[in-house]
Parts: sequence; structure tokens; C-alpha cells
Amino acid sequence: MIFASNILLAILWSLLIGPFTPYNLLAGFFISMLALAVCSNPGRAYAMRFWAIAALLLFLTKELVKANIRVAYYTVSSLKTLHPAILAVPLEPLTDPEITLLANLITLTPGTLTLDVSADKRQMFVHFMHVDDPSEAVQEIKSGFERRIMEATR
Amino acid sequence: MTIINILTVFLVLLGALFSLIAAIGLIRMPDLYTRMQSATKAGTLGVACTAAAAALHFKDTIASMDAIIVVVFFFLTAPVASHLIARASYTSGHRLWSQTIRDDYAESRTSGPDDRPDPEDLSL
Repeated sequence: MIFASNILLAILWSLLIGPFTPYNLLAGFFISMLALAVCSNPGRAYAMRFWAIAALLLFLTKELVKANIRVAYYTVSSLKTLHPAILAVPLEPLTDPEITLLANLITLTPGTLTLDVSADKRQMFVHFMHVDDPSEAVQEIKSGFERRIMEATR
Repeated sequence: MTIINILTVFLVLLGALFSLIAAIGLIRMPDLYTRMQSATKAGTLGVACTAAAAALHFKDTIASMDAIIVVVFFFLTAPVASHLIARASYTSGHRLWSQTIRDDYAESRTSGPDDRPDPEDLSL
């Protein structure tokens, strides 16, 4: 709902300011978001969530590049030192869409692959292409994707 | 050669390099799970780089939108497919490689009540 008024205000802005270009629309979008954040409480929560989602996307891009380089290295280096593992990642109480998103992001990142979620939804089984320290690998997922997803969705 | 051209060439080469590494992984990796890792996903950055190069080269909005849509749909579908293939392989008894150091999944499947439907019941 607030998103709709944000879009409407952005269109209004670009109609008023001059030529109707994607850049004016984008500028209008951010300016009206700022206005919404200043005017109302739900507007502020909405703006915060927008930035949390943007942060999640940025983090995903960073992780993708990092993980791709890591997997590329495993692929061409010696197999003797490669130690795959299936680890149980304990989950915070997440909703179903959040678990789906988390599982998808983990699988999308090279080197990790979600196999299953336990029936009580408190554990996720992830196949790692290589682990040095199991608890550190689990912690990396919890403090990375899981925390950021929770910030973006609630 | 403008800076855009150089960037385009760089992105195409990078995309090709990641795709090549994915192909090498498909041959070199020891078991199904690690092979899936490199085959389905070393490709993600490869596809993203190639699509970005196309968007840069054609320089119009339609081509850029196409490139973005290609990447978005690839990112949406690739994990679902690889998750399902891996889980199906595990369930049907594909073994893990001998150098695998831990398997928490096996423990959870043997201990505790199994509330999954009996595979016999799923006959179509």
C-alpha cells in the first residue's frame, strides 16, 4: 500500500519536474520515499525495509562473486584437500516464505546446496563443497543470509 | 576502442571463463553432489557476466531489460532445480564421496519419527 503511494508520488514528481524519463522517475521514487519516511510511522518502517532489501541484494551479489571464485579454485586445484560435508544448520523460527528464500539463496551461492528442511522447520541440511571448520561454516550462513533475510522481511 | 568496448570484452571473457570452469568441474568432481555444485552454479556468474556484456554492447533499454530478465529467471530457477536433483539423488541412495567429513542428514533420517509419506504410497 505504501509502496503504491510511493510509485504514485514518483510518477507525480517526474510529471511535474519535466521530461518523463527513467532517471526522473528513479529520483522521484527516492525523494517521495524520503517524504513518506518523514511524514508517517509506517512510512519510516517501509523505508527501512527497502534499504534492508537493498542490503540483502548487495550482500547476495558480493557472496556470489566470492563463492564463484572459491568454487573455481576448488575445481582446478587438487582434490586431495577437498572435504565436502552435509551439515545441519539450526534455524531461527522463520516463516515458510523466509525458509524458501533462505534455501534458495544458499543453493544459488556456489559451494553450498540445500538438501532438506527438517519436519519441525528448526534445521536445514546443507551440502558444502568444502569445509575447514564445520561450526564456522554454519555460523557464516546464520550471520550472513539468515540475519539479513530476517532484517528484510520483518 | 572505447571504455565500454573494453568492459564488454572483459565481461564476455570472464563469463566464458566461469562457464569453462563449470565444464571442467563436471568432469573432475568425484561425486554427484560436488559435481552439481560446479555444474549448475559456477555457471551463475558466467550467465550474469555474459548477459551484462550483452546489455552494455547493445546499449538500449529493451536489450538491457531482456538481460536483466534472463538473469532474474536464471537465479530463480537454477537453485530450485539443483536442490530437487540433489535431494532426489540422496533419497534414492546416491552415495557421498569417501572424503566427505560429516553427514548430519543421514543421522536425522535414521533417528526420530519419519513423517514423510511412504514411497510405496506415491505410485501414480
